[in-house]
Amino acid sequence: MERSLENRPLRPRTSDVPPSEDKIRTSIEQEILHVRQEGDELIKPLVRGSLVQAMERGPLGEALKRQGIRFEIGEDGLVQIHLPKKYREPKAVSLPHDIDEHGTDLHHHRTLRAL
Amino acid sequence: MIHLLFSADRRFLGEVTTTNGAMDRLTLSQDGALEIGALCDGWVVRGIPVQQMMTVKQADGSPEAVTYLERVQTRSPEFVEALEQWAHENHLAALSLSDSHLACWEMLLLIPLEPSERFAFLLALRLTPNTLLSEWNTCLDEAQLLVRHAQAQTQHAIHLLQKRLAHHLAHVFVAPNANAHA
Repeated sequence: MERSLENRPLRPRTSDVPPSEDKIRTSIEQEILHVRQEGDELIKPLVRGSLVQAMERGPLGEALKRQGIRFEIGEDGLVQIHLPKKYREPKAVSLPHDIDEHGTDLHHHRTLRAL
Repeated sequence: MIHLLFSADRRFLGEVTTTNGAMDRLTLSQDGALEIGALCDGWVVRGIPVQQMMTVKQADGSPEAVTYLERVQTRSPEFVEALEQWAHENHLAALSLSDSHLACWEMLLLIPLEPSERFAFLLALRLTPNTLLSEWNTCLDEAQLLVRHAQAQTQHAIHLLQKRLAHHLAHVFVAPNANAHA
């Protein structure tokens, strides 16, 4: 006689697993997640240190120094660059942001077509 | 030439490749698709919108400054200039990068850094002459090696934990069957 799958559980249902096993599974899964996150977080300071040091040595370090460019790790733990003024980004254009997506000049209440 | 687009907080949004000033291709990152995807949608058909200003005479003869939107076609040699202006108007940063520097940028993308840090290294990379690019390659190679080593250690620790988990689960699934056969 055929037995339905309902009557023949291939694996224990969650409710069949003793609570202690559930707890173990959860705690190990959390540990795996923690290790993964910790690993990611540990890599970053290593990489920062390596790159900042590399930027100070050899011909590249010399070239950057000549250009007045230097890197340092800030108080927040992040790499910061110090650039001479001439290399800094230009300021955003100063045109007024008063035009809507249809080209209507909101300030003057007219469109280019109207001109 | 390639033009990299960044948000105000230095997240990489995408890249635009150009030839003689005209656009070849626009590729957006996941962040870029969300943040500027809608803004870039009509570029190929309608052109990239940039603000312009002109002076017109009013009825009484006095001059009046009027701003309006102008669309620059992507195939126009003026596209690159328009792209830079568009980026500024939208509070983005557009950094151009020569093809020779591209490989180093791609390596930087693979290194786990905060967006502001990656941007900082990119600023220095752009100012590096081609003759020193091999130095950048060496630095970035070393950093990638560190990353791979640390990732292997993490993977090993995770593997051990997974084995522990598998052992516990096997105990739950196998033990009742073993008892049944006994």
